[in-house]
Amino acid sequence: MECSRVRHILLSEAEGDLSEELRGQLRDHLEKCRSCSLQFQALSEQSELLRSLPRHEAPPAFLENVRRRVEAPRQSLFEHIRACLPAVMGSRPLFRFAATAAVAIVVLTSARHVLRESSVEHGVLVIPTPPAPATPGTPSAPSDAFVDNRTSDDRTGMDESNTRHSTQAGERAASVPFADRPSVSLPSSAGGANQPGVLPGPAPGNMRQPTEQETANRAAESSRLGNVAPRRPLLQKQAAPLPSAETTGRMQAGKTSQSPAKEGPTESKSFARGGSSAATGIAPTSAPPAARPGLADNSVQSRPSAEVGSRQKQPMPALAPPIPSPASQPSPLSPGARTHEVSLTLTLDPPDNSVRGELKSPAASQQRMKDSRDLSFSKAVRPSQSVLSPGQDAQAPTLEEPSKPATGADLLRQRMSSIRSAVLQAKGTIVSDKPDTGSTAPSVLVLEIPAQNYPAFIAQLRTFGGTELKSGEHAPFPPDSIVRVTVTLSLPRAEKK
Amino acid sequence: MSQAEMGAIQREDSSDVAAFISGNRAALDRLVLRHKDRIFNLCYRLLGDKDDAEECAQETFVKVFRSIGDFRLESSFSTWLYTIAVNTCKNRRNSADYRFWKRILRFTHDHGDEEGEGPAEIEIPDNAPSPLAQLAQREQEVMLQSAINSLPYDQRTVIILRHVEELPYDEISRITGYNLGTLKSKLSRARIQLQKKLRGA
Repeated sequence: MECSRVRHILLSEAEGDLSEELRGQLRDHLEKCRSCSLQFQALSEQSELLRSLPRHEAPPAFLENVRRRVEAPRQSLFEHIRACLPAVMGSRPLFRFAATAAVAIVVLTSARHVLRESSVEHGVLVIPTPPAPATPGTPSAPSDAFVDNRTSDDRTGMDESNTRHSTQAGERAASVPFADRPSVSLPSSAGGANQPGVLPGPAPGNMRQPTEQETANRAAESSRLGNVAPRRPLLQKQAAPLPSAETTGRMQAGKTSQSPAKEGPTESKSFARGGSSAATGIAPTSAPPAARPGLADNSVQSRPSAEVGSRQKQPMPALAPPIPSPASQPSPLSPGARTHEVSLTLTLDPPDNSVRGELKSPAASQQRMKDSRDLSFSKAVRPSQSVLSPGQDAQAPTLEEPSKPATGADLLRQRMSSIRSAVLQAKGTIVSDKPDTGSTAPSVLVLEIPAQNYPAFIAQLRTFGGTELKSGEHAPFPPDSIVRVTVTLSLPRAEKK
Repeated sequence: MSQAEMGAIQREDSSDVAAFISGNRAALDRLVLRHKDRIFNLCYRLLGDKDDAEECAQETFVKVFRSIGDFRLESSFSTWLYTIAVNTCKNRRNSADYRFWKRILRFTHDHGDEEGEGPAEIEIPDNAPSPLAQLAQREQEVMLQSAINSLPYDQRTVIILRHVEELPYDEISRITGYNLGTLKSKLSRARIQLQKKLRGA
């Protein structure tokens, strides 16, 4: 018998199921072959070893547990799920990966949400929202308009109230060539000193230092504006390359828009400077009568520190009937945005000397501050378009000798720029304007205001004079839509030439 | 276990099953008490862990009594019990839950399970020769059990049923579902494998 065959039947022998004949042959071989004998011995020992394994008894409470489980009601839902769990978790690495991914998603989502909220509250971190599709040409209009109006002219001296952000010496020097431009415009945005190369120094003729109250207000305002700061470079980029009707303004706008990156960091600083120049502007109380309306108008939307202006003028009745406006000029609208048409007539209040004395009292000033704060626009709103542009403030208007008497055309110019700044504050755009400062024909402004800011804008508009709705309505508009307002400016009859 | 004993047990099982089906709760107790140690031991050898063995043994009885209406008495009650126990242990061992906790606890509990709580002391009769022999026997058991645990589950099952429980081939064949040839070849491979493991140990 061969060893290989013996190895084969060894197991059967060890199992005890070998025939007598084979068992005899096997014994003969094992006596002769030591290797096969050792193998057989090992198998026998193994069998003995297994047989001798101690027998473990069931735990004492085994019967009770079995009885309890047998008599218990059928599997509850929980037990059923638990029974199914092994199948679910069959591929444990996959299960763990899925669980980790789920936890990560939850954490990241909530963290993003929390960060976004806190950024709105504190202005620390703003997750940029994608810009709305910009209408070519639309954003440029206000930009240019403001560049134009930034220059000072004969009116400038009267707008003490606006000059919170008014220019400093260097800017005024730069703006001299445009001295015949409307002047009172006062963008409410910060960043007045952002024009590259023109570092505003202390305003000349600084007549008094800002009071504590003014400083506090400015600080509050600056922190408010901090929330929207990161959006500005983008918006300016939009505004810069667009065509403009007024070349001088375009030059300045382009110049301004080249430094978007600088704007954020310098913003608060420049804001403070603007404040000091505002203080400068407040002082001249001997402004000519024509200056008063400008003061009142602009103070509404300008800084609280400049609140010498009055809202008491608001309830004054319109002196002239509305003048029918020419048809609004067509302009491209933002694609996809719903637009509502509103047409109204704004009859400008005449300059009112009687208000002046009243407004100089501290109580009135406080009241104005309060009113102005009430008018401030919602910060939570993220407008689809915004034309806030710090650079525009840099060249903003401007102290000028308040010597010339106000005329109807002057009043019109003031109001136009006041409206422009109101539009800016409402984060709207000026689609077209007709600055016919030389004529007495009614000026027509076509504005596009985000629906969220529309009520506040209208409220502000009413501080400039009597408004009368010609078409459309002030009904609440859907939040994401745009209200296109056609404003026809008309002078009070007494002021008309 | 002799043939006569086996026959007597089978007869008692049959009557108790019938009594249980007819609503006699005491029959359940008798069936459990008669088989619990063998089933528990089988589960312990199959799984190598006392807690798992208890859980699986209980589950085996629960399954048996819940489906006892399906029991046709074609095979013996104990064979049916073994079959369910082997399958229950197989399911448990295959469950990811079991494998996960085994991996975690391998270095902490295994040692205690095998020799810590003194189950071997309970098992070892008083006439054991000496503490040294007890220790040797306990070590031998630990070594053998770990060698069994390292075998594939089918080989482990057949070698335990054959050499620990000492069941005949035909009953093992009924329990496992393997035919005789498959069973013998699995058994041969299991023994060679086990021999290698023991020699390595």
